[in-house]
Amino acid sequence: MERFEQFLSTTGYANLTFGNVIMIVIGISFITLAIRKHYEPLLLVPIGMGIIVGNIPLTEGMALGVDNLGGVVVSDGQVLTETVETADGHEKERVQYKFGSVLGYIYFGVSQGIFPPLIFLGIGAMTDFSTMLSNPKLVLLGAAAQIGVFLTFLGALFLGFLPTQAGAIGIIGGADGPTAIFLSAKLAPELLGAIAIAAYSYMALVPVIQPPIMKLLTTQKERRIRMKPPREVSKSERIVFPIAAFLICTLLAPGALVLIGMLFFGNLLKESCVTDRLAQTARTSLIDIVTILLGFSVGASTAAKTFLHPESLSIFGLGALAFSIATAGGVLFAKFMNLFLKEKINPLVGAAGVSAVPDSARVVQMVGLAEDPDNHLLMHAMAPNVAGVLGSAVAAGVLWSVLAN
Amino acid sequence: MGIDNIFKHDGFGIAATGMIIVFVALAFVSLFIFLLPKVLSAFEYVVPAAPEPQAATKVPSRNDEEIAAAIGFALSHHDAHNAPAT
Repeated sequence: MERFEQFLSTTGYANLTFGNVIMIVIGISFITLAIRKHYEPLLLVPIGMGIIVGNIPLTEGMALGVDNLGGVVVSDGQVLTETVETADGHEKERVQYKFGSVLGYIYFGVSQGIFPPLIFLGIGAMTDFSTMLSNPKLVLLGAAAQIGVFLTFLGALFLGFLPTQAGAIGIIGGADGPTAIFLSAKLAPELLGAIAIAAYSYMALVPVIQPPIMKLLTTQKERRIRMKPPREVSKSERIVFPIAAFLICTLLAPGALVLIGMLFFGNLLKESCVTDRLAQTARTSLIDIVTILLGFSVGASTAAKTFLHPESLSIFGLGALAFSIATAGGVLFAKFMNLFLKEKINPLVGAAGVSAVPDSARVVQMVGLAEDPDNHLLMHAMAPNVAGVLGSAVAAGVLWSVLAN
Repeated sequence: MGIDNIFKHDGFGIAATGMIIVFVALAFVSLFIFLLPKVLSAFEYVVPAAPEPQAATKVPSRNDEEIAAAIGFALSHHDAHNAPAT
């Protein structure tokens, strides 16, 4: 009976806290939103299930959680050793090693920033930069939308976060999950769970957040502006672009080297037409595997005791602010450009500068069609959309370079 | 907390620097994209691509002629055998 009672005391039922219950409900909500509303299902299902898994109370002494990475055993600052018998009967000293948990090993790819560049490789292999190459002025909208990153950085500083934490929170405005995770892992690993969940939640809510801002900042006449169809882009342009754009961006912001390098490497695999197998793997199997591991382990890192804090609520509030400012920044800059352009830009496409590929471009198409059922803006919106990916990676590189020192 | 925290950590300086660098990087990319077709066509003019090699006309070899003759003989022999009786 004593054994049974001892076992009962280790069960999740005995140790479940109210916070765990809240987090499990949040996890179930994510899965429900993904299945019922089709909001980013490829991300929300792994993250939602991860949240549920991560909120099962851990048993003392068992390597189960994401924090349990294992490693050498240290006591009083000394690395402990142990004596082991070798196969030929001799004894030898070796460093004591404590094995980590499976979740801990998977989470290593998140905490060390390994998964985000691999996702960028896949994104590069599936991205067609042709619309951007056919209308270079739309690239600037991708830059304008990054105002959300830097204003949110100021907002986070205002609320009392440390500069490194503020930088990691600000990048939520880049609307790019891998970039947000990469920068958080480098600058503020303690906030990684909250930042990742906020970034992906708002990305899933792009169709809800963006349209009111877009309508508020534009007139009906502006929303009906028709743009010239994109020109044909040659194969040579598509091959030269990833190499040249990589050099331009990373020579200016070396901190973006890994993300942008992998993005353009993936794109070169696609556009060169001689590495179809590699491009195919990068944009299908590889990105799928990494998305599963990243989503699940990020979800599992949101145990209630580390996640349910007032600062997580602040991060969610700042994240919403970041998305809204970024959307407004893109739309307003498109209107500003129209003051000087003969061929006007439909300012709705500015909202796609927030990255969130391809959801924000789809939102632009949807809002545009609501005003004029024959005005298809999707192709035009893809240009600032992919420029936004580039812009947020450069912004992350800049913040990392400046704040890490 | 508050505006003092922003000044203390040079928040405005960092935000302005970051925004300028992002704009400059993407403006350079935009300029490069604008110039790229012109540079490529100039490159094409200076170093024209080698003409596509034309498919060589196949000259029938003696062996081909022999095979054609053999096929012709076999067909005529076959037709002769299968010709309707008159």
